[in-house]
Amino acid sequence: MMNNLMRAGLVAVVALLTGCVTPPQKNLDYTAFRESKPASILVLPPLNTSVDVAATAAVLSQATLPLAESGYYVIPVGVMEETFKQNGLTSPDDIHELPAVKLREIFGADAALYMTVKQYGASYAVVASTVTVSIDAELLDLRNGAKLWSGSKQVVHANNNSNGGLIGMLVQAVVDQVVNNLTDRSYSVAGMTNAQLLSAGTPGGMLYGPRSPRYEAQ
Amino acid sequence: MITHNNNRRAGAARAGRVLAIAALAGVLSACVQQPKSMYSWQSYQGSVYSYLKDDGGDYATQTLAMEKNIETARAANAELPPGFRAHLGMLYMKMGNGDKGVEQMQGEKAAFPEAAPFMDFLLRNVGKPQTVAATDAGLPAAGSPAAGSPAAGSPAAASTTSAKPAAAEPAAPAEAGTLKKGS
Repeated sequence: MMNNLMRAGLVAVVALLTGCVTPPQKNLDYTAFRESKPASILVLPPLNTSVDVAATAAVLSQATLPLAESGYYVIPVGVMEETFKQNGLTSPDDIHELPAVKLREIFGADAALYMTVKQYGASYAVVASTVTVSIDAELLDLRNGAKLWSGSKQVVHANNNSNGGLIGMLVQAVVDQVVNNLTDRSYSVAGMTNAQLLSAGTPGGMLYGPRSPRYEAQ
Repeated sequence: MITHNNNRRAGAARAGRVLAIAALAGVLSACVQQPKSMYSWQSYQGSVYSYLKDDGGDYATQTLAMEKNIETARAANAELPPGFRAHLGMLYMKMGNGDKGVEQMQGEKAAFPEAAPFMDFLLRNVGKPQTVAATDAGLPAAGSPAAGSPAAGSPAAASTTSAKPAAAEPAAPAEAGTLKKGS
């Protein structure tokens, strides 16, 4: 009797512990990623197919945190951009066309992250305004060109206008639009999107890098 | 005897329950709570955003924010994120303080050996007098045989400017010499 109860407790411990570790999605093939063992990542300036020119800066500047916290060295993005600029390269489209060998030679990174911002910004409506950021990403090995990982994420940030009836909602919509402009909420939503897309340990997400304490365990 | 048994049973049940609850609590906190941040993120991404968004932006403001972050990170015994020192170094160079810029780039390399190739590339170009501007084609990686080749219509070609730090701030030749040796 006692043993059974103790065992139940232990089983609970084990079950919960394993439940905590989210295994990467089974339908994704991590073979190339595991073989590649990239330690450093070059995040190239993202392509931008949204209507807002600020999208590239917002997404590029906030890609470092999730990747670094996942255990990777991330090539300094501002310095990278400046280096491209000094060499007459200002368009992400042109930069994405550069040969991997050249990128590897200059930046010394093991892998490069190619991103496309598909949606970025607020859409205004009378009742509620939403901020949407949508990003595609692909990780390529710069040493052999192999595709290591790809993913995409869309975050829609809507405001809750549950109180105040129709008049309240109308006022709310005006206020929200002002707030969106003032605080650059799209920038914050871009940060969330990057975090969800590029953090290791999520289903279908990146693997941990060598600097993470979870690298060995994965 | 019966009561004794009941006591034992109750005790065991309690032990099992406590164990299960403890496990649940521990696991919940482990799952919900993000692991402790590896780096101090106070200013780096915001400074980079200002820099990228406003075509360089206000160097002094960005530098101040990052210098303050160095202090708070030190006080909290936290690490500065990858790229932080290199970005600050570039800002110093932009503002004409080559020595402090080089110092930060060296710091980036020391903190993150993965940074060495790119930092060495930048520091090599700091040492080059602007008149030499040795690059004929491609990004100023120079010295590589590939750079001399026709570069196959690469948009990188045709630039005679040397790398950023050299353009921003020609460093003293003596300093460049020691850098060469060091790298």
